[in-house]
Amino acid sequence: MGSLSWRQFKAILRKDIVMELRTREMLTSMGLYAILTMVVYQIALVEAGEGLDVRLVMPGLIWVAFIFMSMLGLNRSFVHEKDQGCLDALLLAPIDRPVIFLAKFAGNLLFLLVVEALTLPVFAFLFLQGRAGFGGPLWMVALVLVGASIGISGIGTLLATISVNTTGKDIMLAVLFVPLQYPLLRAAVGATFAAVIGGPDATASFWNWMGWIAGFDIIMVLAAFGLYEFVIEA
Amino acid sequence: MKRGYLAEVMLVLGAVLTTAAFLMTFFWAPPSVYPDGRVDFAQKIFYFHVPVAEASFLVFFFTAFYGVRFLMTKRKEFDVKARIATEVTLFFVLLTMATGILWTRVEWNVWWQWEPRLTTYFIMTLLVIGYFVLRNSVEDEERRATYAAAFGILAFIDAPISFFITRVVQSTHPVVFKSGGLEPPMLVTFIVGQIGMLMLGYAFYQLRLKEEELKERLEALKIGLGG
Amino acid sequence: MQDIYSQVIPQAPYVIWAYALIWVSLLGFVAMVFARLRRLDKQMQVLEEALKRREQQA
Repeated sequence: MGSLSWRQFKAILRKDIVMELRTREMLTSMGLYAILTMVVYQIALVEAGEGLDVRLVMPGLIWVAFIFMSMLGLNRSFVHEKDQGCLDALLLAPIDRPVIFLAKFAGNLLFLLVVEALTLPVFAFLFLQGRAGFGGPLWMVALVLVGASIGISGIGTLLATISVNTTGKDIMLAVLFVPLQYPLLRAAVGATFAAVIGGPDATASFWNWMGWIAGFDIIMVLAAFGLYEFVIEA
Repeated sequence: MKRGYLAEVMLVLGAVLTTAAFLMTFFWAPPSVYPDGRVDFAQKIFYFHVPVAEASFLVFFFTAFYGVRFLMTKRKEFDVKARIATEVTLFFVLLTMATGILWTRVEWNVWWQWEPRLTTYFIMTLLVIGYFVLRNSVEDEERRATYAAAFGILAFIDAPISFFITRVVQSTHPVVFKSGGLEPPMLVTFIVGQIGMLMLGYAFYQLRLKEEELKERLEALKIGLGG
Repeated sequence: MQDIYSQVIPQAPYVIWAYALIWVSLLGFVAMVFARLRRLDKQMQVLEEALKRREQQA
């Protein structure tokens, strides 16, 4: 990447961050969405009572919250671009198409990670207190979050660019996004579970799942990267 | 129309081979037995279930292949080919799901189990359906073709990953090609069915393509007459 | 022999259903495509004749 491309990349990313800092629309809507999901979880788990080992279902619960939350954010990030004509302006500007992808990808990844980092402690506060604590070290959870969020934002950036130009915007993103993300989610839940349970066996299984996540990220994000140019110009 | 002729030859050959495989399944291939010596009659489903499943995956390859060709050339014919390949994929995928569910009911006493290959096919069904939902919600023709091509390629890359990741967990689905698992008559029956089904897949694809081409010529002719 | 039947018969309906489903679907697919092809061919002929008539008139 030349220095010009780097400057363009920073400019697009900065624009997204500045706009977000001004409106705080994505962070608040995504964060609220995650909190509301937890209220629903409380209802879902209430009949299971105190005997339930929350650690067994926690990995699944947090990824359900994060996957739907991420779709909300992805949609927002492109609906704005489209409504205000930003995308057309970007396309008219002499900017390399890959730079647009990388900048939007980085922005989505950043927002997603921020919201995840904010809501995960809330989840622990609401559901894990007084129960058996985390088995594994916290950096493991952090690693899963980063790894899976890369895949989510990478494919999400491509699919949101597609879905924003369709008639069914939000539902279209879900229809395309969830089945494609199946392997990543499976690995993310597996790795989170291993991190939560802890112990030597779990550590081995953790790295196994992390390998899947890394492989998925590399293959699918590269594919999305390669396809983005065609999609955005269509 | 040399190609159309080939499609019909393949259709007849495919019909003959699948019929032969069907007869071989019930009159020639020895019955599979459970470890305790009881006859496993439901295993007969496998002689058509697996060929259909493999045909579906092979045809899905052409969705991605013509998707790439379309993105390279922007020629409409490749989009039509990719769409038809996906149609045939959907047809085979649904058949795979249906026969798989019937088999599951016999062997495991439930209609559904979140077992690796069933899960993979469920995901694949959703991907293929998603492909058509996407096509239906884009107005502009070239944009629709581009989006469909991009999603088709991603879906084709994604499907095998789903397949392998579900296998990380211990599977209860029978492994077809474990060493010495099949007696020769069983293997021959299966291979005949497989070749027949692939020929049918090819014929279906070509026949649908012929139909689309005819439809297009007709439209052009109508416009010519109207003008 | 009795024994084998008692083992096969409970499973038979599912096997029959599976094969019936496959055959009916395959035949249905082919029949539908051929029916549509024939209709398109017929339309094509009508149009071509109309085109010919028009050319003769002109």
